Amino acid sequence: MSDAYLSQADQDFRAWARDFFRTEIPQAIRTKVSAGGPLAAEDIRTSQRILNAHGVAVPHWPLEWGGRDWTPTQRYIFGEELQFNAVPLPLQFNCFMLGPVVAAFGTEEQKRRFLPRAANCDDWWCQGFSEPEAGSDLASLKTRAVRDGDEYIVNGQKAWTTYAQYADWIFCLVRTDPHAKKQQGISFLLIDMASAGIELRPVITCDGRHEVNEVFFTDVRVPVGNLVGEENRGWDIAKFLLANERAGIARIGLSKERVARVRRRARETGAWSDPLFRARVVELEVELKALEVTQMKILERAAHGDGAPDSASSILKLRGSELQQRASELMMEVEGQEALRCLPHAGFMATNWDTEPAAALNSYLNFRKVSIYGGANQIQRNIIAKTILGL
Amino acid sequence: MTDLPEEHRMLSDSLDAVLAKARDRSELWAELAGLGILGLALPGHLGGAEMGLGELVLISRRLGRSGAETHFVTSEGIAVPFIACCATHPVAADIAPRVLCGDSVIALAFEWTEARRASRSADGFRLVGDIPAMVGWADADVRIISAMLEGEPAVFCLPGEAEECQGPIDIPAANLLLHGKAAERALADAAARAQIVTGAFMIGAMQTLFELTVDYLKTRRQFGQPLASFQALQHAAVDMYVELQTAGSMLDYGVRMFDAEPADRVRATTAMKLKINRAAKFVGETAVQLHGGYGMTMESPVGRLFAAVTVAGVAFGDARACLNRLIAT
Repeated sequence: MSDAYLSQADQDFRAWARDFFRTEIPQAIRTKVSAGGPLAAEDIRTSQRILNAHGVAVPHWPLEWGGRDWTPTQRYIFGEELQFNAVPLPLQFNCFMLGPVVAAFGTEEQKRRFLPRAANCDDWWCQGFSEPEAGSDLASLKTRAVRDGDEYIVNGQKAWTTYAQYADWIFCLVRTDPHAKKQQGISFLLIDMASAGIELRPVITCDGRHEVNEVFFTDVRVPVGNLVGEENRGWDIAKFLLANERAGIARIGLSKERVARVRRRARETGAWSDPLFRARVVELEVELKALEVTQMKILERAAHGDGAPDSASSILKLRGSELQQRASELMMEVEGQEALRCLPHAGFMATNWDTEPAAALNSYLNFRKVSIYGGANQIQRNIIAKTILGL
Repeated sequence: MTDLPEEHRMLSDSLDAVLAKARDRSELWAELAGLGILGLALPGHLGGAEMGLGELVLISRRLGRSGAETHFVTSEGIAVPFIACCATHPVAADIAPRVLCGDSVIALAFEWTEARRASRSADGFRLVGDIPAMVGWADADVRIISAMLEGEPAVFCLPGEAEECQGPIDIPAANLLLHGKAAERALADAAARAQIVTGAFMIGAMQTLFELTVDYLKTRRQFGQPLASFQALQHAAVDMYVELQTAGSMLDYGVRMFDAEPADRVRATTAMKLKINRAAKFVGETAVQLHGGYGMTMESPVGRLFAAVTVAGVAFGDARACLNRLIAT
């Protein structure tokens, strides 16, 4: 990232971060991340626990729960260097969703119970938001929670639940008042995945990976103590969470790492001698720089602001996802015909994917999700049109 | 697809019936054999129907449309017509019956490159060099490969035991199928055919991706209304339509140019493959995006077809290779 925006102290901080990631995180894991391949659950846990052992898994959390006294710029540098050095992102659901939510809206008991375990990945969290009929229109969700004494009884279904197959806990948006206006009847509930009545259905994506699932709830009993915030005020929490998700999702560091990888690989495959290919790499690098500086400006604004989410984070999600996809395309294109070498054998219709990390074509398919998840790009455009442009 | 000649319509209808019925890859292959569709490019004296590019294109397109899992495009669309070019060779007589009854899947690595060379040996030939990463190669039980022999292109049928095509391979003398000018012509035909039948498959797949998307926009509701009521999504569907139409036109052009002078044909099929690649990327990505998460799944035809056109887009001429070829001519 541009030294033009970094003080000497920040540049030193960046050098420390870079060094830390290159020495402390196992090379084998970083190699997998760089190739764009699927990570094992153990890779994610191992990496996050190393970070946590050094007190840097959740630097953005309140100090008392594992946060660090860093400036927004330092937090940003840390995150970017993490991605740029092909370190697995700490589990997003734990660190950027559940954690900040419980820290902001939870009771002291909930914080004690959940935050340290989330930081250390002792509990693996997944996100129970979307439903088959409630995708972009999340507020129309139907999973129902009915109060029964000191428990809620939950019935319904969640979709696109990433890594639910590894999860110990799920945080859910549930409908507690079906008679109120749709946003007004939603609550935020923490549910133990080991509860009776929870069933999982794996959903295999077109790249052959098992990343997402459907989660079915049948008369699942959840203690009232697992409600976060007030009943029927869950939509405010959801908005808080989604804004956080959106702001962190540009993954500029990851795209930069991929482009650096493409440059190296292009020299090996001969693609680098093609001026058209070189031009596309350079164009992408320019766009990444433009977005990076935009992100820095948003950070600077946030440092002087009131902590309210910035609508400009939709720019980061929108453009950041597009650039991630362009980087994944270059990764595939640099391989030329070799991209076909990782393939399974059924004509053009691939069904049993060999999910070997080197499959650049597989990664291109996987990355089509980034313009859909975290608020589809069409929705991001709507948000910008409405809240920034006033259209 | 509406103005098909009579015999094409019959072929198309029988194929549709088979596609509706077959449950998996091997069942489909057996059904295709039963229909007499396998080996159809072979000459009569080998048991084939002497059918040409038009039929291969029609079938490839239909298979793309249905999303069927099959080696038809590479085995029947590329390798079998090559066998027809050396129909009098004993190896051809050996392969033909197995192809006709569906016992064999064959593959042809037609790109001839300096990197793959054969030299004469005591019993025949020795082949060294890279084996291409090619769709349909690993599953084939008969593999035919080009190589440079004494400065000219040659084509060999690899012995059955050549499992992993790495390192030097010993080939019996009898397995040299073609050498010199005849090999060059047959390989050039194979290259053009490969792009055309793959392009046809992609057009078929794109057609389904497009139709599924329009249907989804009409039926899926969010925010209390069908997705079709959002103008941005309507426009995206229109853009898909325009790409499908113009790419389909290029397929027609490529087929028409198959009998042109070699240099003109290469330019035409390369331009065709480039255009179809670009269109398929757009149509595939847009179909997935408009379907949301569901379009990303393996169980959805959208997800599967998107993966298929991505693979087909790389095979036999990825966009960058096509573009550079056109720039150079």
